[in-house]
Parts: sequence; structure tokens; C-alpha cells
Amino acid sequence: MSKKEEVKFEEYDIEFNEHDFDNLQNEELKECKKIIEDIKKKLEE
Amino acid sequence: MDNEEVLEGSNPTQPEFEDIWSNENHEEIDLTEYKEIELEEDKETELEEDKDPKMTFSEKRAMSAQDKLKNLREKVSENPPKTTLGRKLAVARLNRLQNMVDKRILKNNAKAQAKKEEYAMADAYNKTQQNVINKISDLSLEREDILRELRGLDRFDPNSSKSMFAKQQKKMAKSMPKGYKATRNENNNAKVIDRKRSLESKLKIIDQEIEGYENTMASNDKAYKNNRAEIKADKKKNLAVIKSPNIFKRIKNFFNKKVEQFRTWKKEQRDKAGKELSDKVANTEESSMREMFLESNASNISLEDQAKYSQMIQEKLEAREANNEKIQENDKDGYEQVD
Repeated sequence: MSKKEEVKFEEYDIEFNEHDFDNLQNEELKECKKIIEDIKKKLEE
Repeated sequence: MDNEEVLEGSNPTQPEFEDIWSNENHEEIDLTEYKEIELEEDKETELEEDKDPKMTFSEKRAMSAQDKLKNLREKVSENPPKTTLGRKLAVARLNRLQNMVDKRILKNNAKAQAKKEEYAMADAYNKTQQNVINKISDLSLEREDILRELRGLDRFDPNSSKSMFAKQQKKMAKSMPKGYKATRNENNNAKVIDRKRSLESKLKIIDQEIEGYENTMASNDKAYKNNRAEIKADKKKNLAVIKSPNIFKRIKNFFNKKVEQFRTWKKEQRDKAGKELSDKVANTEESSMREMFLESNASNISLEDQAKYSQMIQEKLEAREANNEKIQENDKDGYEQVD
């Protein structure tokens, strides 16, 4: 069995795993992508 | 104790009974712990009730993932990473997160595509079968028409037992004067017979066509069921691959490794045994060979036999030495003499 994929932001005490996105529709997933882009922009500022 | 005494003893107005039922003499149960538990349960219920009970599982999950992302966005705005390395690490993690989301989108698309293909297949199957059913239906109607006509013609067929008209004709023909020929009726009879034959052959063809179409329906059915079974099997396989893409490769590598380890071990054991044996043989002289032999068989062999065997060994050793000398001599000549 493949290792469960996790992404941890320890400094902010938030973690994600691939199952967080299970059963989401494409519209909801696109919204998640948008938020991720926003965060990346903030970091690059 | 008689009844009166029992009744007296059970009189609730007596002091002992009053003690049991009065609060003064009863120990108070400490309800604090129970109240705390109740409060906690109420809180949990309130939290649950805050969420819209009509939300689907998907919506709850979406809120959870999106909430986390929004939360992360807020925290990053309030407290961004101070070092360049920190920022780079955060961006790397966000990229991984983005990949997770992309992977999910691809899976959703693949699922939708598979579903679409399945529906298309079912649709095609239904249309095909409906066409065949329509053809069978048309042929059946034609068949009914033919049968109806045949039944009608039976009444006029002179050979048919059902033909009342034919019976009448026969009767009339008997009473006819000699020489009189009812040619018109004979012509009609011939026409009836011809027509019947033609219809009967047509009926046969129709029956064959119907049978053919029925077989087609059955084979379409079978093909569709097989396709569906294949699709289900593929789905399971793909799911296993998606969950553990390298599992078969890993299992194969694991077994290959174990087989290799076993072969190496076997070779080592063989080499070790071989070395031990050759060392033993190299260091063994005639006497020690005899001793070895005797040791292993000491309890079972008589003295006579022991002497006999040791003589046998002696003779074999001498023969071997002689042979070796011969070989060495022949080798000087450049070739070996074979006895």
C-alpha cells in the first residue's frame, strides 16, 4: 500500500492529507487551488 | 408468623419505613460529576447543531479542506515566514498540496469519463436490442397475417379435412352426371393449393428470420454482460494501481531478492561443505580412513569383517596410486593412455 500523502505546516499547526480532498467535486477543488495560489502569492510578496 | 403479624410488620406508618423514605436519613447522591458530563454533552450537541444538518458529506468535507486552507491563508498573512528558506519550504509544501488537488481532479475526470462510456455502452446496447425487438415484432405480425390467410384457405383446400366446401364439392361431384367436369372448381382448388404452398414456404422463412434475430439478441446480451464484467474488473485493477502504484513491482522485487539470497546461501553452504570434504580427503591417509570407517561402523562390524574391509581399502589405495603413476608417465608423452 502506498504511503498516505501528507503535507504539514508545523509552524501554523495545520496539516493536510490526500483524503481531505476525497469526494470533492471539481468546482470545490478549483476553489481550493485558488486559495493555494493566493497563499503562494502572499509568500512571494 | 400469622397473617396479622405479617401485616403489622409491614405497616408503612411504622418508624422504620418512614426512615427509608424520608430525605433526612438518606445520603445525598453527588450529582456534580453527572452534571459536568451533561454539560459537555450539551456543548457537543450545540456544536453539531451549528452545522447545517442538511449539508451533504461532500459539503462537510469541502468545508473542512477549504476551511483549513482559508485558515492557512489568514495565518500566513498575519505571520509570514521570516526567512527566505522558510518561504521556500512553505511554497514547496503548497506545490505538493496543489499536486494532491490536481491528482484528485484527474481522478474525478477519469471517473466521469468512465461513467460516460458506461452509459454510452448501455445506451447502444438498448438501442440495438430495441431494433431487433422491432424487427421480430414486424415479422411476428407478418406471420400472423400468413397464418390467418392459411386458415382461410383451409376451408377451400380440397385436401384439407377442415374444408367443408371441399366436402360439399365431393358430394356434388358424386351426384354429377358422368362426363361432367367442374373445371372451374378444379382451377380454383389448384390456385388454393398453390397459394397455400407459397404461404407455407414464406412462413418457414419468417420463422427462420425470427429465430436468427432471437439469437442475435441473446448474443448481444451476452456481449454486453461480458463487457460490464470487464469494466468492473478494470475498475478494481485501476483502483488497486491508484492506491498502490508500485505494489506489484515491490512484491516482485521482494521475491527476487529473497530468491537471490537463498541461492547465495545455498552456494555458500555447498562451497563450505565441498571445502570441508576436500580438506578431509586431502589430510586423510589410509589408516585414518580405516579409522573413520571403523568409527562409524564399530558397533556393527565383527573383527573379521573389519579386517576384510581394511584390506579392501588398502587394495583400492594401492590401485589408485598405481593409476596415478601411470597417468603421470603418460602425461610426459603428451597424451593419456586409456585402458
